[in-house]
Amino acid sequence: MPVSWFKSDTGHFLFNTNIDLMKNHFTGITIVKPDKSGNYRVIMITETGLKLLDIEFFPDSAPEVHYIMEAMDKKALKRTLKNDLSLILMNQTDGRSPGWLLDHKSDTQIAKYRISNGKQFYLFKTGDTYPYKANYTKGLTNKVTARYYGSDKTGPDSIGLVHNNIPLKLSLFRIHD
Amino acid sequence: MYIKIFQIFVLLAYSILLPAQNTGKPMNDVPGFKSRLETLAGRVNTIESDFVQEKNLSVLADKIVSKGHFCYKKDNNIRWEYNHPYRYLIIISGGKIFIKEDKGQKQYDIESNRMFREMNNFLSGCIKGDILKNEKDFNAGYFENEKSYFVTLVPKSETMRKMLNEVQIWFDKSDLTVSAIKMLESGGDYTKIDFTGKKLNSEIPLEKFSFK
Repeated sequence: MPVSWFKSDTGHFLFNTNIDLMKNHFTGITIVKPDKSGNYRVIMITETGLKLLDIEFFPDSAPEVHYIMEAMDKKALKRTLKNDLSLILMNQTDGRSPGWLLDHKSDTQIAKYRISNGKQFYLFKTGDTYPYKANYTKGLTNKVTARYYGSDKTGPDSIGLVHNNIPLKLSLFRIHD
Repeated sequence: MYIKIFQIFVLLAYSILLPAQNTGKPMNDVPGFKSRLETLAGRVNTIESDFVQEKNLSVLADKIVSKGHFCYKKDNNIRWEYNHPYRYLIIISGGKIFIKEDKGQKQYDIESNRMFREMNNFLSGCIKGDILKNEKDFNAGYFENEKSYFVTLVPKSETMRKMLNEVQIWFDKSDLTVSAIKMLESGGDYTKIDFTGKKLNSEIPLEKFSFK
């Protein structure tokens, strides 16, 4: 069964974060805090400690925005951030059985999940616990691609997410405390 | 980006000493305190210190701790540098703001941006002590205990209050240098900075505030 990189009984994950949107470049720190019930709390702050956003993700209901900085409080941006982070976290896959596809040539198994606003695909090399790639599609369009880098021992080291139809890129680089 | 600058301005005050975190009783002589602070600001040409920043989030059991080094040189030259667990540098000098992190760097012009200009004025006010006279933008409360003076600044603007409920600044009573700053957000989260290893009026070359 597919497992999220962020599944953890204790602790949290800390990432240096880069967001490239159009010609603008933003940086900050992202904190991901999982809990035992399958929820994830994602908080982004600036390097100087100012909170940018605080969103909670659930396995079976819509994300809840606890706080978002006024400059970021735009409907489209919030929707995009929620979708992108949900893809990375795999929160909507918890406890669900996916449809499976198999690519013999590349030795890749693909777990497919239908969600409320499209489909999420997670790609695994045979024998791996965690996905190396994720796609979000809507209709026939592959809208978002995320790549994971890490290992079973270290957890996620970095994640790169790219939108395929808008100039938006999210990069996360793990900070080991 | 102006949000970051505001953050810097709030953080960057004077110099450092041992932290003293108790609030205490209402201050006896507020005008006297302000006057002495202004006098000190006039005498200080450079400030250098290490700092430890703690970010406290109510959802986390542990604080997020980062460390760095701060330099100030008259007039309005500031270098705020994080070196652990990430590298991040902010330099304010000559009417410009320069931000450098691992993946790149960017420069902004303070004067051509109203928000940057206001933030720069705020910063200068902090350093010179004028900020405590800014009754237009902040409601200030003054307290003291045995070791420290303690000032609370509550933004009057609702926009600002959405980001920061309150800023608290501790001044060491022995020399009126800032020992700690705490920025409180809604929901109980806060950022606290303790300053250590203070040096006043040491030689700091202008190259430290260069963007190269």
